[in-house]
Amino acid sequence: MKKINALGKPCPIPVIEAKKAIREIKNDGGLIEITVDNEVSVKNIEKMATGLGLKTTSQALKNDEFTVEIVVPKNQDQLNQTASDSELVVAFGRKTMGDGDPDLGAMLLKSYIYSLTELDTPPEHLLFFNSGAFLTNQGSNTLNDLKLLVDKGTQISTCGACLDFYQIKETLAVGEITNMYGITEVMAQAKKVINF
Amino acid sequence: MDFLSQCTSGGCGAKIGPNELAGFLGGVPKFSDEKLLVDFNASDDAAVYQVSEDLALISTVDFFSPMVEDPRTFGRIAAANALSDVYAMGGEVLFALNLVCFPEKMAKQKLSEILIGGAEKLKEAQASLAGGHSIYDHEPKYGLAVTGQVDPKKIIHNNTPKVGDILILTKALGVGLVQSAVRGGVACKTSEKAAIASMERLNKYAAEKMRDFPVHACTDVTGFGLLVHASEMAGADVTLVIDPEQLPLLPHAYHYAEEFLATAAGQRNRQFLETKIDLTNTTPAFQEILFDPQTSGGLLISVAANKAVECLAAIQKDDPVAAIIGEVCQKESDQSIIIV
Repeated sequence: MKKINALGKPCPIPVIEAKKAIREIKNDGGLIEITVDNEVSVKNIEKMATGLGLKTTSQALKNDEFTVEIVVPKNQDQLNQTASDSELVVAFGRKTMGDGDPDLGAMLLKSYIYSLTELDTPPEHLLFFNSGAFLTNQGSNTLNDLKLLVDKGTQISTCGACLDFYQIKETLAVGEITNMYGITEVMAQAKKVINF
Repeated sequence: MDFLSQCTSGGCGAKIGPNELAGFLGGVPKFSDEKLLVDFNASDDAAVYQVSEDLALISTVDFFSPMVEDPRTFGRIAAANALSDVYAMGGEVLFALNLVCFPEKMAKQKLSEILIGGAEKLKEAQASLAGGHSIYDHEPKYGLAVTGQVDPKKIIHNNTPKVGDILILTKALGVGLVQSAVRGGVACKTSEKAAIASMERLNKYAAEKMRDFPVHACTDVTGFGLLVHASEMAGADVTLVIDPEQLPLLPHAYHYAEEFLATAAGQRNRQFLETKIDLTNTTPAFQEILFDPQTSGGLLISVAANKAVECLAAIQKDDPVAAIIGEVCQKESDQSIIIV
């Protein structure tokens, strides 16, 4: 096991040190344990590792001491394979799935988002705009699944102009606010985009 | 007569490649006295000459052909770029002399616009314009010879980072890529504007902030691109670890890199370092960004880790794109830079 002490190191240094360790051991594989002093660093390391298709477990030792363990498999090709699979972006431009009865559409979409949590490698990024913005808001029936995805390292962004338009900005319940430029960038850089 | 189309290649992209330059300089006979604290052997950003115990003069010169269509903007960029070396060394600018090459047949109005742009930036830097020299040439070129001052004990060198330091970059990368997209007629206005604002931006503000912190090394990132300047900073004794995903980028610069809108100068920078750095895990687009020549780029600052967050916050007040991009480690596997 390769141990890294990143206590007292500012963001994004813990992520950089974790990446460096992964790079060093990826031929032989192994475990990396990185100790950090804040939860943001834990989340950032998890996001980075998930992005590379690696499994992580984290633990809070004390108030200001956390460890993240990253499992690096032996086979480098496999690592790259999972990495390319993980670059999936799903864009939700509406709050239902498919045309037809709105209640059925809402149910289908809830079930779809639940299924995303069951994927071996969760999507990298979920984008919500137009009436899709209601899905990340208080009262949405998919919030638990979305929060689970965030824990697994998925990024969630909702269009700020849409939140303003529907006057629901104050009640955003999960993820971050983005703008059209952010949405365009995420889509342009994704390997695969699924649009709803 | 068109301003930009007259020029073969503009900005810091026109710099002679680092490899070629080292070759040319090898045979130059040398004379220097002990008061010359920093000469070109150190590949530092400017020359420093000690005048008295607590005063040294910084002397630097920079000029190039236009990289933008508007002459006044070009003047501002050239001046910001020329002043930058003084800031990178921790100094203050005192005065500057204009250097001008201008085609006999081009409208003289354009020359006056260039000079106005340059003078605007000198005024902002509170530096006097003390004169200059101009000649006729096929292509317009403009720059400045700049004199500054520094306390010899407080000179910040470009190659003295300490193990454990954090690296901060103060301007977004991708200037060369965006300019190349502009020339190809495929750049969007947002990125063109952002690139111009970045090139015009004085490094004065970031430099003033860094004086309050334990900065061990600093350089300005220009024509040789982030990686070559970073490898100069690393020297022989340490390894700089840089994470491309932390780099501040101009809007769409990554996209233009993916489209291989790279410059010839970027390729020269790549040839200089290619055999010395392992880029197998770095996407081709990030590679282009790391080698992209930056006209009037930002400062790369190596600051003690325990003050890095404060230093960054101070710089971000006026230069919000500044970011932590890596750290300084003990020399590892004979690499001066490791890209994670």
